[in-house]
Amino acid sequence: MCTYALLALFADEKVKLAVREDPLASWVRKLCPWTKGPLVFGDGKQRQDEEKQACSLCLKDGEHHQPQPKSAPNISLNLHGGSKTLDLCLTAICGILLQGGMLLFSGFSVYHSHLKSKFLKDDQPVRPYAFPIMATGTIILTAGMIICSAVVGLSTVETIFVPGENYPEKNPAKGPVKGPVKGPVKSPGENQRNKLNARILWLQKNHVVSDQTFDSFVIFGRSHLDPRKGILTSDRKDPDDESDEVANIAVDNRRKPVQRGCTPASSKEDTNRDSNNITSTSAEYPGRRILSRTTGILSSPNKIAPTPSEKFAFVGVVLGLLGFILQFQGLRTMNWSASILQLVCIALMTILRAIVRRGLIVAPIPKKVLDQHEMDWLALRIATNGSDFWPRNEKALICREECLRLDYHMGIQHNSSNKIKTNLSALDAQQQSAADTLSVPNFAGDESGNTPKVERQSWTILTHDHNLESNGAENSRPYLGKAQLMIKVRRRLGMLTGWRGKTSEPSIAVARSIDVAMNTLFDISIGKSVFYWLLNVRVGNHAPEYIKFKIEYIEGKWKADTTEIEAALSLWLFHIRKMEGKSMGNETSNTFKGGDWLQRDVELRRQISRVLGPNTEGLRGDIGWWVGDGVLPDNCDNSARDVRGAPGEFSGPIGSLGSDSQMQVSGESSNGAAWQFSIAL
Amino acid sequence: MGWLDYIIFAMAPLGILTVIVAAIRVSGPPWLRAVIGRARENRATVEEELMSSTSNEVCELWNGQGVVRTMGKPEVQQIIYLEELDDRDDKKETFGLYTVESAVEDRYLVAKGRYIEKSRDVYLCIISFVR
Repeated sequence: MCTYALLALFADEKVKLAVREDPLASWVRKLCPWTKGPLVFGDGKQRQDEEKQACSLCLKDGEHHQPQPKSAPNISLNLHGGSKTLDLCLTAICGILLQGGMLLFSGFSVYHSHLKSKFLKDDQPVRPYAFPIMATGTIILTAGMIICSAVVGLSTVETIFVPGENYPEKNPAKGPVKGPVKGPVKSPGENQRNKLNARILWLQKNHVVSDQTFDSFVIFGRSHLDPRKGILTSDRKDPDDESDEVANIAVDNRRKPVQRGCTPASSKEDTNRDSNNITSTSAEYPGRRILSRTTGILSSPNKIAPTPSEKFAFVGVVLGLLGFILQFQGLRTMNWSASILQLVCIALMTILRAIVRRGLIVAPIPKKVLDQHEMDWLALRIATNGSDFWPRNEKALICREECLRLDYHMGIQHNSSNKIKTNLSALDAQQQSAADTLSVPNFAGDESGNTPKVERQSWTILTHDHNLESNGAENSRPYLGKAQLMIKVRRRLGMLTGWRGKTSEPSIAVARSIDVAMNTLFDISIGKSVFYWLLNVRVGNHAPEYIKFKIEYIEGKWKADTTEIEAALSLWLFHIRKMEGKSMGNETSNTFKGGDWLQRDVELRRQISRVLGPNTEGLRGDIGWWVGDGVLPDNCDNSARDVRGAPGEFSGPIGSLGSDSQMQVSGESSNGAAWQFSIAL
Repeated sequence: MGWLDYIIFAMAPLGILTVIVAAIRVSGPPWLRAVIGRARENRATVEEELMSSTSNEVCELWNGQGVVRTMGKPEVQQIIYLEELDDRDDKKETFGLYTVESAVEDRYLVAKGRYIEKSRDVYLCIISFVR
């Protein structure tokens, strides 16, 4: 059974085709001689339908779990905690004092009996109208500025997300709160006091937006802001929102059901907000706006009645311009000290504004990661470091890598006998920038006394007979370690982002293959509703551990979890691509120095799929018949050495579909895993 | 932005014409936009340059040197980590990782207007006064 499951897992497109065809029955029977009873696969159409259903289920599932946000996340607002209200108050008071003081001083310089003679304009006393014009101008200008900036400021709606009713109280003891929080236990008043202990990060894919290329990054918010007050979002207010909510009711009602389908919570809020708006406006002006609007439209079709914010902006603009001109004229007719004073005030306020807004220059802690493996990188990091995975600063990320590279060099000198370590070290020594080392190196020596243990976050599925060890019918191994945790974190991340990558399609195919196999081979008569199968995984240089995949019997059918498989494949591909990038670095410099630039491209050379199974004549024959002539028998010696099982029972890869396999074997052979899963890139 | 910000901005103002133009661009009447030569300006351009918001037209991204605002649909996802909810034994296997949407769905977070309530009142007052 496990053989078949494995085969199913690594089935490539052609194998899947073979699965769909009728001869599968005999094939399966050969592979699994213990199967009894007729193997009914159903006709092809039905299977296609099932597949479609499964795909659509997957999509629906994703949509259900991860409502795609309508708008992009707001990074800059969440990077800094915002200015403190006290700072703002002080600055505002300073501003008022400065501006008021300037007015006061000018007034005294004009009207004070003693000062009057000293502040002259063109050797004459200042004209009597100068100061009133200047003062009125300044006040009007200030009012205009307030209105104008308010127009800009109120064009967005800022929302802060604060702890809700289910948010747990902060645990005074260090460590995570035990047990899930159930139900609302606190009154809303207490919630207000509950501080949000949230940290924010952003996953950014490598992509092009408006002709600019953005690389793959994991962006961490600064942790010194934590615990933060809340998470901020800012949304643009549409011009329609404020002007004619009444007219929008119809539109909103039409739009509502669609929104409700994907984001139940937010649409509920929308409804609330809208209903508030509607009640407020309809209470104030019942029907008036509709009337004015309709009459406006009727009277002149291409003229739309100005919205309140347009009027508001107009008033601001008029006041601002008027104030500006008056102030300018006033200053012109006054003693030079007045304009110099205003200039000094402007300079001082500019500095103060810059100081109070110093938070705007706070930068996040970015980490460039391998393209398409942002989630994998993060999952490895979270699972390795636990709740302490947050980097304290940029140097925390860079320094560790430097340290690690140093460790590897030391590793070469001290422990050349250790095959794996040397291999990794040699690879790493070539590396210009270590992009994937994550955790703090453990400087304590290992058994040899000298070599530092290097925690290297690679996540590899080992492909030897140990994967076949468990009969899989039961979860016989309760302990599941870091490797499983990584899968689960990766799965969670995938669920949250809803991103689909290279491994999405293959994982659906694999899950489908497993489903077909299980539905064919195992009836519910087996007496179990959950089936686990185990794979051997090596994390870093640790001893291999097991991960389990669950297959559940739901509504008369076995269902494999696609997301788990996707997580595993993606993590594995992450490792493969990392290794390949390094080994290719070597190779490019040596092998392809000449004009053969075409082969330098890894992706071009790497169109290869591998088929895995017990190395028996029967399987060779079957593959020859059903998979096609493209499969070349591979050199099995490489892996046979590492296999502890009886010869002939399992010997790693038996063939490869494609042309080039040497490079991969050379990159992997010393790891004991002599074959890889690769997806047509 | 709150009222304190507006006051800070308005006292001894430096960019008088800039903010006037900004106000017109953000929500000025069409004829005023025509006066400043921006009658056919895209709303997304205004948002990108003047507002603090992000939408389905304007996004914020990290370009390697800094956070930049740009137009387009980004492939970027915000993840929040709620340490209190990080429970490795949890059946739901969330590990404290949420998006804002999923956290709101599970009622761990709740949306609250920021400055909105107060500002709105003042705003409505002024509007009614203007009328």
